Amino acid sequence: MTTLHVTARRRTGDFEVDVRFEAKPGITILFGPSGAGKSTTLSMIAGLVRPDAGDIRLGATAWFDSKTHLDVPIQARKVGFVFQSLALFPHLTAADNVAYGLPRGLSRLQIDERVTVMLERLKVAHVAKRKPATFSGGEAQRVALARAFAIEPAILLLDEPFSALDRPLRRELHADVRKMVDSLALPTILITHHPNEARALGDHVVMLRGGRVVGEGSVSEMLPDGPTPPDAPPSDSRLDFADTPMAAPGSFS
Amino acid sequence: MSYEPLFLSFKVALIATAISAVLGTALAALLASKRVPGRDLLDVLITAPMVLPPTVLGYYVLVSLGRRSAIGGAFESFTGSTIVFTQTGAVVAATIGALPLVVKSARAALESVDPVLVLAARTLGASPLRAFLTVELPLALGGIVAGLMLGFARSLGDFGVTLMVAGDIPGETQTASLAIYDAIQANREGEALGMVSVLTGVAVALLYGINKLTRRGAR
Repeated sequence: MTTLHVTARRRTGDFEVDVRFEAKPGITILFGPSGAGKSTTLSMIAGLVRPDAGDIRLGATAWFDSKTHLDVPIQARKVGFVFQSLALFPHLTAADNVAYGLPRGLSRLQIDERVTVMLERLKVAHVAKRKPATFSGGEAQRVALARAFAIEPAILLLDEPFSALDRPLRRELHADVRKMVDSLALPTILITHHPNEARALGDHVVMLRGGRVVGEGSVSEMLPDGPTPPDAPPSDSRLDFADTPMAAPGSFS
Repeated sequence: MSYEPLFLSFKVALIATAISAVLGTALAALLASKRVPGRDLLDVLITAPMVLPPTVLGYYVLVSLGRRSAIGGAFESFTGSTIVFTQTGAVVAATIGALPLVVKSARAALESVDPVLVLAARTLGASPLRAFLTVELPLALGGIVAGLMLGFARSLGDFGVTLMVAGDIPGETQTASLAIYDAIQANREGEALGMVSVLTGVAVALLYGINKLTRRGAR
């Protein structure tokens, strides 16, 4: 079992992210209001930004260690990263987007085969020859996931990739992601501020607030069913707030 | 009308544009990168030829590339010919005119590429160079080509720097804009008109093409 260990601190202006947690195979939810440091945390894990101090390890493999000045470059970390904006390459077809991260040295035939398998597994084989501008929201998300899974990542980082979808589509995608993560025993970190999405997908929840970890535990402990999770801002209504992002407290916005 | 000056102008402008394509895109990438120290100074240095008088630029080229300069001397002992008062000098003069235009457009085009796309390429295993060549460059290509067309048009018509650095040697460094001047001086207006028409036609066609290209890129 490969576990990701994260201890990282980074200061940007007068906001400091200082986190320490672990992500086992399965889905760990980074939960918290906007401005809690969730995206910065993911970026530090992927190597997109450099922590001021800390150490980041996947199992026995060290990716970052400020004590030994180790900083493995982004491209060597094998991180499947799905960005909030999806970041599909607009000049490439879906197939070429998925093929982008495949190891060099594969034959044309092997590439086509791997790309087709990934697109089929995410149910978007029909857009293979089209460019991102023609995708629907759901298709774009699925191509972005196929591209991330295609590199056979060591971990999967999802920065709110489902937020733009309507609910039936989102449920379907949740089920497919769940299935793939489980079959690969892949440590996965998902950022969300939808409690219902966290409940639907999460195994473990890490609560972030003001750049710190303020709570950690199973989904049922941290986000029990009910109108208001214990650590969320009070909600005035008892309506289903699955599609309502949690309001950010003003203290550090 | 003699076609030689026109032919020479096109040849010099093409070589100058090719040099600007490589050098200009590389400089634009440097300027677009936030991590390069002293990039404001570099920007001023590259842009200066757009605002300095041609005689001032010509003076600098003669001082730095002339026969008695280190670069000019090395070039001469290596190739057996000088940089100044040869076609090489004409190419240098044309490149000085084209380069700032290419760098300006290429930089703007590169900076308009969403940086998240580059990060995405990096997470997919791409080195910084591969991310640049496969993501940034193709997405900025429209703007870079527009800059190259502008640079070509500019180098096709250079007068002042060419005159100072390359002279006005018929058949060797006499480009069309120099030949037009000579033709007017010698009252050969018909000959001047022919070359004027060709240069005007090319400039109008290039500007029309640039407009089409940049409008398509904006969509």
